[in-house]
Amino acid sequence: MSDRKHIWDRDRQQISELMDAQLAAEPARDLLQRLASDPSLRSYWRSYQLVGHAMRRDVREEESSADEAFVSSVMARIQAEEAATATRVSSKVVPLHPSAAPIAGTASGDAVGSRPARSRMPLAIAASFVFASLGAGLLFSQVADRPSDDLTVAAVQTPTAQAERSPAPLQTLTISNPETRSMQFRQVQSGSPALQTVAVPTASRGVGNAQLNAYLLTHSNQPATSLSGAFGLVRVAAHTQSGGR
Amino acid sequence: MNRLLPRLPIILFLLVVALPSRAEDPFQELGKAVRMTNYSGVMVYSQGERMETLRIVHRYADGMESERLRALSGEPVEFLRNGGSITCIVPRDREVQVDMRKFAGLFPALPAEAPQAFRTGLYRAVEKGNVTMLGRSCRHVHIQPMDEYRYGYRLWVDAQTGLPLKYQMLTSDGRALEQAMFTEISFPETIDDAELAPTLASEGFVQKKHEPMPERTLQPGAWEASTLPAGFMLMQREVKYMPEAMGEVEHLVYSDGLASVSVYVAAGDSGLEPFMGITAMGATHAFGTMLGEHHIGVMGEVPQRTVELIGSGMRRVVQ
Repeated sequence: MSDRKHIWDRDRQQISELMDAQLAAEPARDLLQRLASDPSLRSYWRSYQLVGHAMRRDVREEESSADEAFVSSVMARIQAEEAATATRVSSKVVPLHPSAAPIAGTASGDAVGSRPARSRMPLAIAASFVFASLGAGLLFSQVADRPSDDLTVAAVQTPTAQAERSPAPLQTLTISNPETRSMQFRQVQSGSPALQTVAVPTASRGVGNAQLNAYLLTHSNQPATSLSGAFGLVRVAAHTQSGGR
Repeated sequence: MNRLLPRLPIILFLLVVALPSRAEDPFQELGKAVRMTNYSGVMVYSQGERMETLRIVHRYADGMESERLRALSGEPVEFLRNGGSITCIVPRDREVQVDMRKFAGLFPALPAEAPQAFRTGLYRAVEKGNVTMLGRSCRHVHIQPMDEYRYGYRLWVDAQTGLPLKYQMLTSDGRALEQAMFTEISFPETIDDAELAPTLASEGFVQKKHEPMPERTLQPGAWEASTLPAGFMLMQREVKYMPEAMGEVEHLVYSDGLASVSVYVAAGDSGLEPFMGITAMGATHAFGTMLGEHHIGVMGEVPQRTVELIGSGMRRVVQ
């Protein structure tokens, strides 16, 4: 128990140092790995951020009453989380999952998002974000499990060898029919004898999700998106890989 | 010290006068610095309970940007940016996807006609002093919006290079909707090609290549927003073919100089079901509604009320 407490204290100290960018590279890497796999540690990490915001009180210094209410709510949350964390410290490690992310404006307290009629962007947005950005694979990734009666089928090459570090010759598929609604892949190069069937949708019942994905990507790529688009590629990469879990 | 005391009011006055000019527009040179600096580091991106770790290598040489970005946590994925094209390696799907469209990069450049967010009083930039992060001197700048139609930001900008080492997007009550921070950073004078080469294996993967689609310009003023928050201006208008979004879509971009909002207008007669109402993902809000036979979709890293206001006020001015 004392060892566990020691580890917990060390982690908390390191989180503090990490958030102040004072932690050395090697322990920072170790800590990030533990954060990625330990929900209780992540919970503490988030609490730490909330406390930081509360203590700084530099957002709306003129609204002290709002600050006090905010601090109270934060402290209540921290106490609840620490109580819960204490019982979870020895629990099994579970992977991160995007479904754990709160909707902005609810848990995170988006003051302007006060209306109840809100929905979460579909989780598919994370899983298939990159496909929206890089071609037509988005709809495929969303509806691939569906019956093929609403899909156009194209034949493409499938890989046969285990990948190496250096890039190998690739088979190329080009989106060749942008002016029609039914997208098709045209096989440009071939070489592998093995064929795999890839289903490409002509229409999707989940078009609302796909529409959101496409809009989000296009929006992120706008040069006019200055600060709000900052770290756009980071955001894409984060959503892409986390959505796969 | 005694000699300084009589001059203290003057010194304080000079400091007060000097601070706003330093912080007047902290982004004026920031984007340029980020695009034209060599750096290599590890970045943590967090949004809500989600936290991801990424390795970033960025090079600026011979007038061209190159970048490699690899996820270090979760499913492996790697992005390689070279000038205007971007390649993504997704081992999970044994695919390499290549996008030849111009990609905006980490800090896209604003067009020259963009609104001056700080000069028009939409935001207030406050210098919070210098701090040391990762052993480097950083300017801590707090960007406060002057109304509830936009978010605030907190930045820790490396004093020497201008690269933000930490960034937060804030709600009106000061909590971070998302943040990104470097946990390791170096600024090498040169970066070899090898450091920008893919580290994920991709032999035998299928490559999908996305060619730029022809875009055409609409008649001016086909659709417009009749209700805009103060300071937002129309920055871009074009027609895109978006098969995921029911075909041809008119895309309008409004910006106040920092935040931007995209408005998409699509014909609603396709028989497909578009998204409706408010949807949220982290700092991004989307609002969908029908206007006659057209679907209006509004999206941006702005509060819910902003996308609702803009979406509800869209009108067609050219039949």
